[in-house]
Amino acid sequence: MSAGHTMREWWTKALLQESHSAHPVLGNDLYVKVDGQVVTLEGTVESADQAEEIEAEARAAAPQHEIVNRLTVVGNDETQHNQAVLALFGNADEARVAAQTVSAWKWHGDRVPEVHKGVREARRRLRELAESARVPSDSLEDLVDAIRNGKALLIDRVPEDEAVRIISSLEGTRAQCIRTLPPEPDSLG
Amino acid sequence: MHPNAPSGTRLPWLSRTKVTVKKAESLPEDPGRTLRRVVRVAGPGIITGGADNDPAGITTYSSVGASSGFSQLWLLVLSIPLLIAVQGVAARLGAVTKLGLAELIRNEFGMTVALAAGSLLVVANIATIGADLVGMAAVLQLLTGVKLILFIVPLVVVMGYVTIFQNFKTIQRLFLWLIAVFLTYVAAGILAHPHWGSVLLQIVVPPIRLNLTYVSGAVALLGTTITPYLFFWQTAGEREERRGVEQMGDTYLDVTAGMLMSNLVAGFIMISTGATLFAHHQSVNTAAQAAHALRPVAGPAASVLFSIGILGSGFVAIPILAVSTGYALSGTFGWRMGLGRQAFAAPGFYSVIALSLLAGVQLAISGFSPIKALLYSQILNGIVAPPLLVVIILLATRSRLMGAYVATVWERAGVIAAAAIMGLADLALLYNAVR
Repeated sequence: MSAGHTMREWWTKALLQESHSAHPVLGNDLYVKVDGQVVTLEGTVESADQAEEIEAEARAAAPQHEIVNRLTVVGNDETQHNQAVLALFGNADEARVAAQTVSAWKWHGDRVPEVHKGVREARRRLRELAESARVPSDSLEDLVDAIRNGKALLIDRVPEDEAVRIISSLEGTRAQCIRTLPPEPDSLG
Repeated sequence: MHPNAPSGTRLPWLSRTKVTVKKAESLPEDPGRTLRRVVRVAGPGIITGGADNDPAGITTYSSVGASSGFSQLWLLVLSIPLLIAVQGVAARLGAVTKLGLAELIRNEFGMTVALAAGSLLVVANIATIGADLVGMAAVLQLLTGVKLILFIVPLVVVMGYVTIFQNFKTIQRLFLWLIAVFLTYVAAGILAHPHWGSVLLQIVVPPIRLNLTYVSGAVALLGTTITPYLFFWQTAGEREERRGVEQMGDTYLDVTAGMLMSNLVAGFIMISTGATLFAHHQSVNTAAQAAHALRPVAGPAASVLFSIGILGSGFVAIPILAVSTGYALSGTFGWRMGLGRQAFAAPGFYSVIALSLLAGVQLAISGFSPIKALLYSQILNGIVAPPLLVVIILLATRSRLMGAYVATVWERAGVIAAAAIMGLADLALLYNAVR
C-alpha cells in the first residue's frame, strides 16, 4: 500500500471520528477535532514546514471545512532570527482580544503578546526592541505618540517564520496598522 | 534559541537537516552543484521569471524580432542586471519586513499614495489579463480551428479554480512545472536555424538606430521586462515562502535564475522570429500570428512549440496578475490575504482575484482589440513602473524598516538605473506620440 493511500485513509478516519493518533508519514502525535464545518489540528510537530504540510493535507482531505491549525512546533530552526511584530489598536480592549487570538495561532508555544497602553513603558520597550533590531531608537516615536493619543500597542517578538503567521492572524483583527521591526541580527535560533 | 520555544534535546528531523547541510558544504566544487542548488531553492524568483514572459510579452518579443531582427537582443542582456536588482530588492523587502508591498507603501507613505499605486496597477493588470486571455484563445483557435471566443471562459474557470481553491505550495509546484514549457522557445529558436555568428555580433556590437520602429521597440521591450505586478508578486511570494534573512542567498539565487531564464527565453523568441519573419519581411501583431507565420518558414514543429509556449505562459502569468492585484488591494485596505489561506478565510483577497479574472474575461469578449489592450497595458505599466521603483528603493533603504538589511549599493544602483531608463523610455514614447 502506498504512503499516499495510507495517509488518505488516516485522514478519512480522523475526520469521521475525532482521532488522536500518530500521523502515518510524519509520525507525530496529532489530534484532529471536527466541530461542524471546523477542523482543528492540535499536537506537536518538529518544524514549521511540517505544520504547514499537515495543514495542507487537512485542506485536501476536507476542502469544504475551515482548518484551524493549532499545532505546536517544538523544534528550533537555527536559521531563524527573532523579529518583533507591532500592531496599533483603537483601545486596550481591542488589543487584548487580538492578543488572545494571536496566541492561539502560535506555533512556538502560546505565550500571549504584550499589550502596552502606558507611554513610558511602551517607549522603554520599543527602545529595547529598536536596539536589538538595529534601527534608530527614535524611529518608533510615532507609535509612542499614538499611545499618547489613546491607542494601544500590541508587541509580539517571535521567530521569523512565525512572524508571517502572526501578521496573518492580526489581519483578521481590528488592528489599525501592522508593522514589523527587521529581524534581530544577534538573535539567531 | 527562540524565546518562547521549549528547551530540550534536538529532534531527529532537525538533526537530519543539519547534517545534510554540512555534507553539502564539504562537497568539492562540481558544475552540477549550482544547478542542484537552484532546483532546491526554486520558488517565487523562478516563477516571477516565468510570469515575466506572458502572452503579451511574447507578442512584444515576437513583434520586435520580426521588425528589428537581432538588433535589439543587446537590450535583453543589458536588462538582466537591472531585473535582478529590481526583483532582488522586492524580495528583500518581503524577506525582511514580512509585509506586502502595498502594506509597506500604506504604512510609510500613506493611504493616498497606496491607493494611487494600487488603482493604476489594477487597471494595468486587468488590461494585461484581457490581452493574455485573447492571446491564449487565439493560439487554441490556431491549433484546433474552433473560434477563440469559446475558449476564454473555460480557460478562466480552470485558472480561477486552481488559484482560489489550491494552496500556495500546490500552486507554486504547478507553476514550476509549467515553466518547463518555456524550453519550447529554445527549441523553436534552434529550429529557426539562425545565423549564430550574426546573433552574437549584434549582441556585442549593437546596431543602434534612431528611427521610430527601433525606439518604440526598445520602449516596448523594457516595458515588458520590468513590470509592476511582478514587484508585488515577488514581495508577497517571499513572505509566503517564509524564507528568513539567513536564506537571503537562496532568495538571490532564485531571483537570478528566474531573471536569467526569463531573458534567455525572451531572447530565443526574438531569435526565432528574427531569423525567419524579419528575414522574410513579415510583421506580426500578436503571438498567435507569430506562431502561424512561423509554420511555412521554420516548419510545423517550430510553430506548434511556439503555440504551446504561449499557452503555458498564460497559465502562469494570468493567475499571477490576478493574485498580485489581490495583494495590492488587500494590502492597501488591510484585508486578510495570502494564497496560504482558504478562500473563505480571506474573502476580500480572493474576491479581488475572482473579479479581476472576470474583468479580464469581459475585456477579452467585449470585442475590444487585443492589440489595443496590449498597447494600453504596456503604456500603463510603463507609467506606473518608474515612480513605483523610486518608492521601492526608498523603502529598501529606510533603516527604520530594514535595520541591518538595507539594500546594497549595487541594488540601489540597479533599481535607480532601471527607474531612469524606464522614465526615459516613457519620455521617448511621449515624444513619439506628440510628434
